[in-house]
Amino acid sequence: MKRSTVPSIVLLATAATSVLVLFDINTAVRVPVVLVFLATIPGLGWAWRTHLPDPADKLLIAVTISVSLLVTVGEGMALLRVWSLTTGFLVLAVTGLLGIALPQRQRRADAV
Amino acid sequence: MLPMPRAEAGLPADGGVYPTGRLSQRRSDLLAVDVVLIAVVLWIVGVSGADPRAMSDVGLVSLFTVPMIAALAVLTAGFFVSLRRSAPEWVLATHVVAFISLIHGTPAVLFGTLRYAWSWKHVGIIDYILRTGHVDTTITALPVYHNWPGFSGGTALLSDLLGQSHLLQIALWAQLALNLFNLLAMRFLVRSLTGARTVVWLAIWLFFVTSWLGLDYFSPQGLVFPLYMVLVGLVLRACRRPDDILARESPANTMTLWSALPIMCLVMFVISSSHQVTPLMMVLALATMFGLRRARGWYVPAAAVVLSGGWALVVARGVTLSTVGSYLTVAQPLQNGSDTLAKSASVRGGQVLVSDAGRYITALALVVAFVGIYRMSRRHRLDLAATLLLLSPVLLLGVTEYGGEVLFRVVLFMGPFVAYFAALAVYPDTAPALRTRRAVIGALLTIVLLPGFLLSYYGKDAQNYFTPAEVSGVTWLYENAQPGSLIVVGSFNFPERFHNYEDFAYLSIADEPKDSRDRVLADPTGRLARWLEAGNSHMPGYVLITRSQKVGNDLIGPMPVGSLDRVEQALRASPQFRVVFYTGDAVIFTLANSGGGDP
Repeated sequence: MKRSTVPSIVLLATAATSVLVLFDINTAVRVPVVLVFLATIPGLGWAWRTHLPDPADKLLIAVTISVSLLVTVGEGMALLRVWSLTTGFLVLAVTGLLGIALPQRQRRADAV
Repeated sequence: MLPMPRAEAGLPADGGVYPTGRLSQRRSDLLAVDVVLIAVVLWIVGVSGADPRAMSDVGLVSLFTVPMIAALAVLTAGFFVSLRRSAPEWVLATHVVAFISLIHGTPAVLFGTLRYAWSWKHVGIIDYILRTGHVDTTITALPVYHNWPGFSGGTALLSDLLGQSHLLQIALWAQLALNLFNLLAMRFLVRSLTGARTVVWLAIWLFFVTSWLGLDYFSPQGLVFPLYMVLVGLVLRACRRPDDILARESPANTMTLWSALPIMCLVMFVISSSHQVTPLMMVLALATMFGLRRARGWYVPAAAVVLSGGWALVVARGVTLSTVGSYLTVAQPLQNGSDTLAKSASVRGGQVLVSDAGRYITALALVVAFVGIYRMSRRHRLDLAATLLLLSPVLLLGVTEYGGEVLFRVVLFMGPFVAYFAALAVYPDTAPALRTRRAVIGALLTIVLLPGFLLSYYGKDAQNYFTPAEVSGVTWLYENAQPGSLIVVGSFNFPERFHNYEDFAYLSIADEPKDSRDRVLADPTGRLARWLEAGNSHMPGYVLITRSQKVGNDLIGPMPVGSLDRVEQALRASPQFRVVFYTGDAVIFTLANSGGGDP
């Protein structure tokens, strides 16, 4: 996956999942789309910032961050007694979007 | 997903020159994929029509057919042939993914219901969050899960976001998904130790062929174990000392500490808030690595101590302070280890073989791993960081007995490094491309390990399998019994506490002290009637006896064989009891003169 395609993937997946979750559309595509979103998208942009050379390692970091965020948001809402499907999803979506939107310092090696 | 530039794949250390040009290579790759497809088809043919009710006392292994064994043989041969000819990573990955899918997907497809009684208990905690929208750190029923709620909170959010009720489907397929996560994490971890692709994939293969513990199921441990591997991989990539020559040889080690640190902290937080023993292991591993100067950055282990200790003493303070005496059993490693072994003392029949198979496979893998350590030290290329990570789980024995399970956790956390050193025993990474002799040795090692793996991993499935009729009986009880009712069960080996779990009080005959148990078996009707009457005079109490409770007791005790059948017969014949629900595999009794009547 090229670096330039990551923002498009994050944007597309976030948009598709937003429609399904926020409008509570229960179609056959909801399960695969939401699963892929939760497993990869919140961490994808952040993983691509690590400059790991190997795509599978990047994918693993994306999954790790995404799963960790899912756990953190879920347990945070449960502990604080503020359970909300919409809030939980929006936190994950915004975190994923920040991963592609925040400016990134160029590594010296990249500039060479 | 996995083809990558040769320089990144570490091929210079590994050989890996394709034999006769690109076309021939592509043909060989496609042939390798065909081999995988043949193995999958053979497996499906072999498993089709199998009846899980017909499992004997060695579990799913008793349903194995010739095509299933042939499938594993074909897959093993295909993997080592591909490794021998330095096939691209995607070809090797296809073999491993197929192995994982066959081994860990089969119970989900064949059983159709969630495996392991304790998985159902985890479903119950998530069901609680989905019903109430919170956890209760002061709850008295299963408080540990409310105080370390990472796994249940995350899964509840996942289930909620998926829409309709998919919780049991998530749980059913979690074992396969977690093992695919383990595959990525294991590759990440081993690539931080070596650049030799052959070693990486051999280690991955051996890891999955020796992972017999079954701790990769729908559980906090199942979730945090791959995260632990990722954390260790990040530390190895970002925190190695600059003078560590072996670390510099791995082309994967290009991560800066500052890009890895936020991810490490996030992972450490999730581990600390999801599980009890993994944070302890995390602190021990990091303290060993940093204390013995195999890594730099004191703030990494400091962050692990602060996060895990902080969670235990702030969020989970109540449970921590009330259980610290029984949880931490410091300075008695032999006692802690023997507590685990004592758990298998009451097993019977085929379960003796299953128990021995687990010990055999662990011992054999350890011996091969130590051969790897010996070979690398002879070459003056022993990676001390990896050796410390292999040995550090043993320290758990000196700290906790973890409910008599600590030895299993030691084996679990040693697993990735046992597999790594075992791979080095077969193929030291300084050698050129994998020669035929070494490939044959690797395949033979697999052949020696696989029967033990299959027996120990699948061997307990006769009691871990719950029929749909059993599940529907238990579901009826949870949905119809009045809150506050006492539910007496034969044992906790059934789909336990997965719905409205906090509403009921439970009493397990098998878990009673021996004297009390013997009194129940001597006079089931009189004794159980007294229990139900003492439970709550305003509510009907229930006695639940299921097929899996009987199977579990008959295989692993602690009551004599047939005890629960005799209890059921006595209750059926007694005028003091009446059956309120029966599904064929689950029977529910209540007192005939129960004030509350039918639920």
